[in-house]
Amino acid sequence: MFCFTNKSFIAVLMAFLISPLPQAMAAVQLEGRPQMISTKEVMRRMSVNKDRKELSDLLLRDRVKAALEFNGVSSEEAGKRLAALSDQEVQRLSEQIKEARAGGDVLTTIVLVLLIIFLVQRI
Amino acid sequence: MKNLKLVLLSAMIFVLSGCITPAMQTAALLAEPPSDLPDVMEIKDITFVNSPKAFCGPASLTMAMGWAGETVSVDTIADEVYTSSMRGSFQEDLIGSSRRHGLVAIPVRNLDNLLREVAAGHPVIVLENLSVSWLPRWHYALVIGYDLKKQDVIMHSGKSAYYRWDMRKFERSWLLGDYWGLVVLPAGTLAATGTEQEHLDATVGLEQAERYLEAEKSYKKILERWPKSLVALIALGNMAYQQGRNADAVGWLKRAVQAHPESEEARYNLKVAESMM
Repeated sequence: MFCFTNKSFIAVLMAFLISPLPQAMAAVQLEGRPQMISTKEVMRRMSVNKDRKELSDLLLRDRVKAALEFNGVSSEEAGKRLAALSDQEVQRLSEQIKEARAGGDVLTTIVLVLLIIFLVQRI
Repeated sequence: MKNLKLVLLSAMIFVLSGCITPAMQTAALLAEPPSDLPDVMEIKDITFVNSPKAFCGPASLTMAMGWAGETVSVDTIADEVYTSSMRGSFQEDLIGSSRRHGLVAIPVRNLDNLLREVAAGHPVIVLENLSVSWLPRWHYALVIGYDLKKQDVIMHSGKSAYYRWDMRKFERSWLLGDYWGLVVLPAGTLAATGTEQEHLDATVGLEQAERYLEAEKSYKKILERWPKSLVALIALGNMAYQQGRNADAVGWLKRAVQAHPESEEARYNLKVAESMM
């Protein structure tokens, strides 16, 4: 029936199929390639950049400037402090501000106070 | 410092007092109904699932999934969302379970959007508090319709199918549930109201739940509404690359770089993909 009923051929074939070699080779080919920046990481960076931009825009508002200066922090200094925050700290600060806003109307005062507290705490 | 605390305290009181006024969104909506919303809407063909006791979460999600084409038993969903020690289901687990079933879960956070989703034929899971804020009694229900003339919402809720409830009363209970709502859609469908970011979050969630086929479908659909979506373009490139489809990967990433020349990530990933060609 079969053209190759040779026992040793079947044995070799079986050995190859059972061995982890084929899978291992395939895995190495994919894993050994240079890695891309993952989609999750791209999203994280975009969101941090957006938060930074929103926070620095906030510092430029007149009322915020006035409130900061009232508390003895120039807006220039506040900007420097913002720039020194890590990604995680920026996200936390931005979340706090969003929560304050979600709690009611946009209350600039609360946003201000949170900002100031956060920045002042870092001294 | 003392002054600061006083300012914060008074600000908080002001915020909290905002919660006392109920049903503000209903009032605004009924006073000036958006012209593009039909007066009456009811989504047919949603199989009602009776929810005994604390099973309102699993029951609501099972109904929504059934509508989306994913037929599952309420017990299966209960295993995925119900936390017996809490005698209830967490919102995050409802979202997670949807993703595990390959569905796109998009938040719905105000009355206008709720009605718009229903008008588009999408049932909305809502979290209500049927008691008072300091002694909550949480309840999930599925909004399947509304009637602006009679000022009702229509729901599958608890043991009642096609239950009609006064919109103001509904809003009060939903407000106490922090206006938490969710549409659960088949992959390749967009919510009527969700933002680009919300759709991306939902789709990245599908990838994390290892539902790659659905994720790919969903990213492509996102590009129909937001053709320049950087994340969707990069994600499609990354997925193609991971599956060894290098030419496809280059194609998507080239589009990403064209639409967003400023994106370092798009340029970097394109270089990587091109190096493998």
